Amino acid sequence: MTDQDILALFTKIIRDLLSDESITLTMQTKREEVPNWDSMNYINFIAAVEIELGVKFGVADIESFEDVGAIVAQTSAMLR
Amino acid sequence: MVHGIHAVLWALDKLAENGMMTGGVRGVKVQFIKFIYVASTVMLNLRHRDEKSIRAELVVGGLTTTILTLTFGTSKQACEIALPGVLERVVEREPAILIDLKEAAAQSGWIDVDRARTRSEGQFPHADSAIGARRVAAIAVLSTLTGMVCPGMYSLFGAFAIDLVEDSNHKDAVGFNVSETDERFRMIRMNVSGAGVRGSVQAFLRWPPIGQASFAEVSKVVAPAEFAGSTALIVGGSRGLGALTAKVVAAGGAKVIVTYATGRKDAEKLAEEICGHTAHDACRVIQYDVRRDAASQLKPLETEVSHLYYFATTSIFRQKDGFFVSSLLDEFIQIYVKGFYDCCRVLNKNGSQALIAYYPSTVAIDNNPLSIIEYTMAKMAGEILCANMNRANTRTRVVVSRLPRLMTDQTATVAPATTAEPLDALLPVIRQVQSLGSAVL
Repeated sequence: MTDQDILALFTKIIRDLLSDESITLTMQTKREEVPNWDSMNYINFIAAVEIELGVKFGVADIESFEDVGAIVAQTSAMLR
Repeated sequence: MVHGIHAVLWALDKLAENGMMTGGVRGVKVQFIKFIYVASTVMLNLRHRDEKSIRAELVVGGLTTTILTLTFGTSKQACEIALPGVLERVVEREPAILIDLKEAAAQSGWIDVDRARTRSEGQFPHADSAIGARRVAAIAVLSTLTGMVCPGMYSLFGAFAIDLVEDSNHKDAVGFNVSETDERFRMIRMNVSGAGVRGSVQAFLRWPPIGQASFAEVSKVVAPAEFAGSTALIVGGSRGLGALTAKVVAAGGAKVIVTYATGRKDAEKLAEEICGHTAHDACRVIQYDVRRDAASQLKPLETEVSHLYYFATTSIFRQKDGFFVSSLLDEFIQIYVKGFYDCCRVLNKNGSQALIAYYPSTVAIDNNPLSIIEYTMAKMAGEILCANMNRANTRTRVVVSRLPRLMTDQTATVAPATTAEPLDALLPVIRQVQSLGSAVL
């Protein structure tokens, strides 16, 4: 799975979660820039990614992800 | 039954009334995204429909609050409640108070659906016809389960996913057990089964109200006469950082006047705590709403105020249907800009000496989150006001600092987030403010 595949999956997950088809995530997207991507939906997003890809993020990672690219990078590392 | 579940049952009823559930519902999946507040106008939007499923949303003011997915097909057979172990009946009189997630891990039991059935009887006739009144009551009971039983008082209902099943066990009860807890998010997942439904519920254990350090704890790090001779007005001092500041300043020997807008009991309790450790008149309480006229409200002070700590605030994190809500900016400007200026102006007018004021700004200005831009804009305006008050001859010296994210009721969240210790963050600031006197002006 390439980083771009992961990014596309993330976009699909967040669109489903927020019921907003207009969202397109990029590696530089910050959570604060996406309307309604609040803390609760961040949890739901992380949980959905974990279920979809069979990975588990550490709490320190979840706290420190600065942008979507950082989540993609960590996911990619866990999938290797 | 809280309004989230009530709205879900209403949605099911409307979908059934409009012939959307004629294919035979096999499963119901619901995700709660945002709160639905009492007296909100809720709209039901049908987003997708085919022969296999329906996706619908509950929308408040343009904001999606709840997503419902119904799948069609024949109900599965289920011979009995498929939960392990012997379950005991739970009678929910008062909400359970769980604080530690570990307490939740062992929870199990069963809840009667009779009461929910009586309450919902006749309210959702189309849903009753479509999926059965017993199952409608079972869905209502999921609210009772999360709000009253597990996790109870400090719960947040996240989602549920149930299959509608044909069970041979006709006991009108929903059994549950906790199948998973996740410390990272304080999340609880429960299996539920009974009264014609079987599936899972996801809930979160919220933090209880955040208490700040006690006066006794504060006294250990503040010298008894450190701030003696000053009188501080702590606006918004009944709770949170304002209350903590009042304890610090009073522990250092200053007199404090704590104001509240609505939290009279909290303010009085704080004054009791402070006066219990100091002189009887060390702490006074007055009502002061910074959105109203400052002069008339501050008239009863009759005391020269040397220091002002301005912690007046309101709920920062709001549900919004757009990225910018101008009325919210107006509300925040009133509190964080006009209210502050008016307070300083009145204190200056009434006092003979210059005023030292503290304006707590926020690290949100550095981060600029999209979700709270109105708050950030108001705080930026507040900072600009303070800078110019210091430049102009206003007889007020304002100290501004951008506080880091501190653990308060405002910032308590289920998502992992690093917060600084409030006392560690505030103490150096208070020392700086208290060290300034009228000589600096």
